[in-house]
Amino acid sequence: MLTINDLKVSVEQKDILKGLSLQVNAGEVHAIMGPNGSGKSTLSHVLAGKDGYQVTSGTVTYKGTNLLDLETEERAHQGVFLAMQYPVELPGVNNMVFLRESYNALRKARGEAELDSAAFIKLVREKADQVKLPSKLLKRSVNSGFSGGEKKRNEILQMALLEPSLAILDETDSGLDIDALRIVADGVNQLRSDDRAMIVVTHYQRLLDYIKPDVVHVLADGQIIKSGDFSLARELEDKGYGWLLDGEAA
Amino acid sequence: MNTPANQITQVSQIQWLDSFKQSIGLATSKGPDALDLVRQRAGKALASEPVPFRKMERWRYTPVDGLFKLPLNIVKSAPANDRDFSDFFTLGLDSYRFIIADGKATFLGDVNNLPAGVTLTSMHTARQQQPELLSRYAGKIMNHEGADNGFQTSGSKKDSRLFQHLNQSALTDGIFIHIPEGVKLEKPVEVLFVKTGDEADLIQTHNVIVLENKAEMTLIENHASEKASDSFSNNQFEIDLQNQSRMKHYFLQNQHTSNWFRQGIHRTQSSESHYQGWFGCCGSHWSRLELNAFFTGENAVSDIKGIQLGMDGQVNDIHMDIRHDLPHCQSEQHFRGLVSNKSKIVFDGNITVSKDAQKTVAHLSDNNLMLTRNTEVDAKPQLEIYADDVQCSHGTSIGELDEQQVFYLRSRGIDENHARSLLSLGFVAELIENIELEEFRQHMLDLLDQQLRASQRVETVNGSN
Ligand SMILES: Nc1ncnc2c1ncn2[C@@H]1O[C@H](COP(=O)(O)OP(=O)(O)O)[C@@H](O)[C@H]1O
Ligand SMILES: [Mg+2]
Repeated sequence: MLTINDLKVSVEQKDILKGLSLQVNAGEVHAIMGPNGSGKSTLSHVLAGKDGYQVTSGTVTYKGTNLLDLETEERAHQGVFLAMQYPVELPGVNNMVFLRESYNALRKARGEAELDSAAFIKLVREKADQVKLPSKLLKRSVNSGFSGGEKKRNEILQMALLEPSLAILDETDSGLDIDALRIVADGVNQLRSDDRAMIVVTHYQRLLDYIKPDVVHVLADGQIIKSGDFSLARELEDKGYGWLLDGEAA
Repeated sequence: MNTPANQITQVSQIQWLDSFKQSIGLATSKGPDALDLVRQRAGKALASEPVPFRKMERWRYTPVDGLFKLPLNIVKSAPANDRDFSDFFTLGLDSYRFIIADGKATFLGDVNNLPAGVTLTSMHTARQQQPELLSRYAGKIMNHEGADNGFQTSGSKKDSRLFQHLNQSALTDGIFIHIPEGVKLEKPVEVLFVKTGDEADLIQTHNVIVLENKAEMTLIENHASEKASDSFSNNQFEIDLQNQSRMKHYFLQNQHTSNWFRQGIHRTQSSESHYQGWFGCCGSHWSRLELNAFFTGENAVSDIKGIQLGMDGQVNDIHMDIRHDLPHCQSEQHFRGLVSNKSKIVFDGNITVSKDAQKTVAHLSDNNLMLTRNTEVDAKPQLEIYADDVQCSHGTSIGELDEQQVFYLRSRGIDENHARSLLSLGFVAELIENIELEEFRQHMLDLLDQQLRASQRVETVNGSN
């Protein structure tokens, strides 16, 4: 599904990703853990196609095509979805309108007819119930004045609605209570299937207890320095990152 | 009169204005009625009024030369009476309707079926049937001492009253609404101002609205055109809101982008009167809206929200003068603008709070988004406060779309142009979120959406050249 090979990325002349490689197969869930500032959001943004990052070398292949050649919206059309660490507020843009424009943009890109308004509203209400997003938030401006938890639930709602093939969740669990955490985990688990893949960026083993990733990676200083199975998450929770970083330096 | 030489030269170069002045002299009225006095006075004043030009404070940012070079016809034959304009009434409301086609007003409702004492009629008819009532207000509200604050305090160096005089010296037609004491008009009044042909005509209307004590009404104005033309619409409104009256005013100017448009709205408000106005200024090649309000009683409220759009080579200008001379009044004025592709927005908002106007509450904001580079916004808010116990504030901003927001939408599959127009629309939609008349809000948003999309297509075409 996704192959990242020796990816180097800099921001304003500063090297952030320093030769990152990662292979994510269809059907797999990968967790990426790592200290603050190690480049997790940078990786997420580069995969989603955000401006302001210079890819200086390396390749990213998604479903057999060069992902980096595609515009942001084209990546979304091909099934890439990023749940953002800091979801942006869109004052004046109605949440329901936003969700419909987005949903129909993806359908149009797949050559499908747009869903009519009544059918769409029914669908969104169902999905909003699933992620326990109060339906009054559908009528408000996107994320405007939402609490931290509501913003994250709105991200998961979008993921549930758009059913991406590659979902990247950038610290969606940060700052959430245990109930909200389960909602995020449920969102991921419901989407899990043989033809989809997910990358879950997190600080905490807590979320992974519910998700049970297939592979856990540690990202430090712009590189993946260790990969393992679920037990690596436990180890990190107990020991922190220190032992790994020391090992690297030595 | 000490008029600088260069202005005199300009005056003599304006063909249509000269013909207009001559036509005033020739006009033979059937015998002077009460309004002839107003007309004649304005005609005289027009003869010596300097033409607006860049060195006048109130015209500094608004290029007006083009208007004086237009080959305007000053006499317009009225369009056929059997024209059907029902397509222009898109809101689908149960309303009292007026059509003002090329300046000629027709009331479409049944005059015999109005609530007792209510006058809804054309200026033309009012002149014949209710001359006393009409002459009590026409030309009086706008010339009320202080109501014309911008001019009174500044004199001709800062401004020119050319367009006001031009309008009042014609006084051909328009609407006249008079709601007697205590009457609440249930249905809104919808007025369609429409320019029909492609001729370059000077079209003037003068409109008078009076709400007596405790009267209430809703007015919806829609300015449209059927075809492209170098026409110039010069409208004037006089609105008098007496004690405890309430008025809601919806204004949409969506003329063809070849038209030239000016409208002045002079309003006086007595004690505890309440005015709410929503102004959508979207169309015309050149548009200037002048909003003047003057409080003549305490505890009156004026609440204005306005949207300015300049999409393709347009000039969109709003001048506002709100004068607080008495204590305990509140005025809210909040504007937002979108400008792209060689367009220009001018916003000149003035609030004066005089020494005796204690406990005044007055807020002014004007926020603008520049959607492309080759644009101009001249925002000049001015708050002059001479009282010491007031709550007043003003603020303006000129910015660009937030790229984080654009990315967020694109990452959800929405293409860049559409993302930008959604965000631009959101920026202005926020201002009118709480508008009462949902049909008007939706219509305005649809219209803005269309124009944003159309304009960005143009830009993409240019960009790919
Ligand atoms: N726009 C930017 N400009 C400058 N430095 C940046 C920018 N974005 C990220 N960085 C830097 O890149 C590094 C990695 O950031 P980030 O990818 O957000 O890390 P993480 O998500 O792992 O906490 C940090 O040192 C951060 O300061
Ligand atoms: Mg991060």
